[in-house]
Amino acid sequence: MSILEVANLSVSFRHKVVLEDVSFSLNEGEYLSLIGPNGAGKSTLIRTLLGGNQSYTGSFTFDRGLKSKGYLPQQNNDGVFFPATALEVIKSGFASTSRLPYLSAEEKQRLLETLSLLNLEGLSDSSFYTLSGGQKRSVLLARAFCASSQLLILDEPTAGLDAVAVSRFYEDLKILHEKRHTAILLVGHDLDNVLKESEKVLYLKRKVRFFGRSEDFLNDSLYKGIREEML
Amino acid sequence: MIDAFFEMFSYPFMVRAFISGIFITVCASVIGVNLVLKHFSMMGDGLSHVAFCSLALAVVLHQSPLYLSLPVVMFCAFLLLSLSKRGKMYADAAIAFISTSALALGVMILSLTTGMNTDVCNYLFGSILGMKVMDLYLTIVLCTLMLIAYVCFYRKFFAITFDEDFARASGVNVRFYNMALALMSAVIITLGMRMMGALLISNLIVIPALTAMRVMRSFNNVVLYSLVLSIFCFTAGLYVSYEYSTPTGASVVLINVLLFVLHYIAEKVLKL
Repeated sequence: MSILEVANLSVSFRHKVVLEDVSFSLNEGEYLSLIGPNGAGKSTLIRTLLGGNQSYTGSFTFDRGLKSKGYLPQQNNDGVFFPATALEVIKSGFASTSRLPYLSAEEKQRLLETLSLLNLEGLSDSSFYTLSGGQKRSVLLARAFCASSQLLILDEPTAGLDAVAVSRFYEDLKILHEKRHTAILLVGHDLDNVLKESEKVLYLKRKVRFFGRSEDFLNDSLYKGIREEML
Repeated sequence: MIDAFFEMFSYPFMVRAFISGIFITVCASVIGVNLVLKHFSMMGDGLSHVAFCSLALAVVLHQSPLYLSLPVVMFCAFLLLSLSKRGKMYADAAIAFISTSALALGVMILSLTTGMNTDVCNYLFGSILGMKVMDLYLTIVLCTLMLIAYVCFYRKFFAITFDEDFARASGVNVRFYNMALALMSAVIITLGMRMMGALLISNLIVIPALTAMRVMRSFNNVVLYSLVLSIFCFTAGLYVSYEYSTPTGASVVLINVLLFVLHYIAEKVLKL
């Protein structure tokens, strides 16, 4: 059953077409990576899906049962001081659903489960500002998972991280995907990791150039062309 | 000193000033944490100039400054946020635009009519004598409502302050809660300008939050410590004002500034 259905989506900025006739779907529990060169419209697509851009044609529909979307933004003001503990940041994942200042028993249960899944118990009381880049991304992933265990939308989550932190991040993501059957829509730039982890790939360059299984993409002439360009 | 402290409460106007001042400073300090972290620190200053303009208008029209200012300042807070959010103007430029325009209009109204009389000066620099019983009731009701709203929507206010993009994506109505913060700061500015002065009231929003952020590392603790600091500074400022016949607004502001400096030194020395 599809959790997100995008049909003939087109977006223009100042008479310039950024996205043209984009159609694809994301099923429940599926892992889809969105790749493409700079300026291909990846972030515009994500922004539009999250309601940040109202001027588009075509349509996109989220499953009616989806209460909230877990989002990990591209930039998180990593260098700016903000007085908050890791736990406070993770708890803000419940902001849209919680009607009271304190968490319900169910939310507390989910919080503890998330901390345990991502092995973050030891960081709970640490100041978010003092965490390393990789730890910050793990905390923000936990926040996104608290917001929604059904769908995570991640916009270049590993940008600026070292190889060890990137590997740890993809491990965390794999845990959430495999153990909790969370659907993932990930905008990625590190091609090797993206293709290794995801089940499906959408290659975007203003239009959809490829949409299908990762194994098929690896055998596609498009992938070979990209590889040669990178070398 | 203790006798003098309790003696000041033998005057009804001092009791009114103390109660309303505590309510206003508590609200200002709590909401101030979100405003400072959202880089909206200058919003209070801009709105206080609008409050001055509406005060000038009220003086000319022989209306109650509080009741006329409240809707005017709230409307300008709404306008300010709308201008900056539509991307037509940077937030700081929108504040500068509205605040200087309002100040110029206020000065023009006064110069063409009553001139700078004592009443206008009292509103500019603050006076504890003007707090009427009805003003006190209005302050208590509005501040209590604001505090209840802040506590109920605490997690939403944290989310829009820490990361608007995430909050929007997860389903929080970011525009609504931003507007709520702006309107609450407009109400605080209007309620507090009689006692603290239109030119000084924005200090209550900014300084306690800045001071608390020197030594606290969690958002929750910053809010609570900012609240405690604001109560202490206001009480101490009111006492100094009573004992040494100094202006209340300026006394409270200078004690706030002194505590900020002490916390700044403590942060550096203790390497917090």
